[in-house]
Amino acid sequence: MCDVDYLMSTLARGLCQCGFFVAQVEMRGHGDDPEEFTIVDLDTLREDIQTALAYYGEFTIDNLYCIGRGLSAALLAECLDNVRIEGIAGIAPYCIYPEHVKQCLPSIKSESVDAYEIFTGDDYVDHADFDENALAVLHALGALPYNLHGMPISKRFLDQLVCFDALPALRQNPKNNALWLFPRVDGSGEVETFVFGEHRNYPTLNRYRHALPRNPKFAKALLPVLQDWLQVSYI
Amino acid sequence: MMQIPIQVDAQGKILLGMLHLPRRRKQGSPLVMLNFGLNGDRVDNHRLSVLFAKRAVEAGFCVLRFDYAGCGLSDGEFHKVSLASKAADTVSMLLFTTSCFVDEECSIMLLGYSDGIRVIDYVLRKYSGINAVVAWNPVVRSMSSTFKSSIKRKIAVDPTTKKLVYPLFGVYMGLDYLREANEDMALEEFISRPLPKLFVFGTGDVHTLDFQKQARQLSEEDPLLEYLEIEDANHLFSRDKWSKEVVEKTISWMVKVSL
Repeated sequence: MCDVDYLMSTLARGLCQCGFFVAQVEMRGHGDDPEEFTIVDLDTLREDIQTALAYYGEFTIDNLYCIGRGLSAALLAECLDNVRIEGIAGIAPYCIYPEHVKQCLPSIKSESVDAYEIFTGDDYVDHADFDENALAVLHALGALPYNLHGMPISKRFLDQLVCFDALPALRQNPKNNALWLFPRVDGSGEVETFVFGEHRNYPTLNRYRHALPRNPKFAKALLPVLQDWLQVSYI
Repeated sequence: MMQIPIQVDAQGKILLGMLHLPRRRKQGSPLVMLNFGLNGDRVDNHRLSVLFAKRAVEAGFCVLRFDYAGCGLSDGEFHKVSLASKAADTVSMLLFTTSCFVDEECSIMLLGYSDGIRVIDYVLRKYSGINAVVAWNPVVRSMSSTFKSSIKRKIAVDPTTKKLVYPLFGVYMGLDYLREANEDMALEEFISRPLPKLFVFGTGDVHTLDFQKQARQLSEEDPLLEYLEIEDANHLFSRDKWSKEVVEKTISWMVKVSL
């Protein structure tokens, strides 16, 4: 609940104003949670998502919709097998060919490492001194360098990430009334719908270079798209 | 440690915050309130505020982190935020939090990060109950060079409000705030206030480099002003070792002035 651009909390308030009950969920090691980020790996994230789904699934009975951003969108898609939901929407859902991730991330030997050692660079405004592909991976996760640098990341998390293939789960989700949204790569701030169909492969790394747009128009454009999707699905 | 979410109605907007209390608290434990900079939030970059709160509580302090209106989880839009609105929100949170301690007389410290010092300067003009101030990489000079360097982000029109705004890291900044940020802060008045002050600078912080020398000189002349450095640290203290160092040095100073 601490996106650098306030995107998810802005969406939550916007949807709430339309009459939806909205819950934002904080994962372990994120936001206000007192635990350190080193405890986070794909397993803890999956467990936290499953806990939230189980709780709200019981609470809302038959009208639960899920919206995720970056990595959480892909993990949400994975966790839906035994949960009844009415729809899932993902904002720039993480889906990178594992081999590309492996090429971008250095292997580490210690138990944890400062994020700066993995995504190296100092230009937080234009990202001119960052490796483009590593930056794309970081954006795909849903983070910006200046937000993550200074946080120790566990070796376990990185090891899991280089093996994580999100494509099968994202492909499976038409049955869950899925909506996958990306900002347009031209930087216009407009929203583009993406289909992970049978024959559709991974989104390009270039798409993720623009996955966290500096253009605030994207947040403004996103809200009506999600409102329409929820209202059409709900009615 | 107890961590209590709080919600305050301030000028018709709901502000959200997190109050950290030591598990065993002495009556009158000092309260530290965090004032983040520009477009931050109550958690802040690399969760520095959370780290600080955790360590400060271990040292016996109460800590309040909160989102100004238009930031993080609180109501409102960022383009309406100004230094004055941030200061008004700070006072609202202060009044609520101190009222939670009823008859206790606790000292209050404000910790401003980056241009958070400007918010604190506003607060000090309106609220007399502050006992000490900490400023991390305080931006007191005009930030115009910071904004001018980002050529790609020019003044734009907010498609919803049709007002002129400045796109800043995914949000729209209002022109009032931009104007305030482009002015120098009235430092003399701030420095002359008779309360302990700590300035902590990263020696690699390009946004405060031109002020560091003057701040060091001021601290040599003023026994109430202490000057500390974190070697090589940048504006956001964005290395694990820098964030730990700024937190530990700050808490040591807070303990010293609380005694």
